Amino acid sequence: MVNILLFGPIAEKIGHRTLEYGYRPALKLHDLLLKVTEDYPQISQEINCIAVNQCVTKNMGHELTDGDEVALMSRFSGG
Amino acid sequence: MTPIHPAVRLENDDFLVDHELSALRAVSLSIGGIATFVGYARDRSREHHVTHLIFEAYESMALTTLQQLRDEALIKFGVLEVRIIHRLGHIASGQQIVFIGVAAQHRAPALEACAWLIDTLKQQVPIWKKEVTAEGVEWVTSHP
Repeated sequence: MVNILLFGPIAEKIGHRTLEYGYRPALKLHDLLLKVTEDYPQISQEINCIAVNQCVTKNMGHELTDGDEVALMSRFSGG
Repeated sequence: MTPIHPAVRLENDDFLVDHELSALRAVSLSIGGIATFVGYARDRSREHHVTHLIFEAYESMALTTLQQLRDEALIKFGVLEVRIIHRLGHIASGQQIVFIGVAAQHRAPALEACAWLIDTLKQQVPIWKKEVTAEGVEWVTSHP
């Protein structure tokens, strides 16, 4: 299982703060993102930053591991 | 005696700037100056009257990132101490949102580190702000 964390405007658009997607060997971040945005197209323009296990990554070829925590985040606005 | 809180915090409660300054000063007698930035909730935004703001965060990552920024600032600017607080939850207009305090031997590195920290915080720390006005609520997606 891959756990997806959602915050702020993305969580509000989907109506959930977490999602779970099934894990399969060789699952890449790109595959997961494609699946999530197919299921929830309303957030595709909102995703500005992705973190896997709290580490920001732009590598869509990153191979996920069972139990990974993937955060899909919109543009930050703290401060 | 005022308890010394951790140097980097995310918290719902308001903070006391005097306590943070005391904590900074307690670190070293070599401190020659302290630069601070305190962010407040404005009551107006894009021609609307803002009643309050709501902040939420990816808390574990936000805290880790803030701690990394503190560590980086200590080395990058050669300053003596850094304290960073960001509040979460409901913050009424006029209330404090964020505190950054940098203690250094001289003013230039203190001021430079303080400016770098607030700029970098806005870009790198996963915190989101929602504005609540009489017209409705809206997530803020820019950080001027």
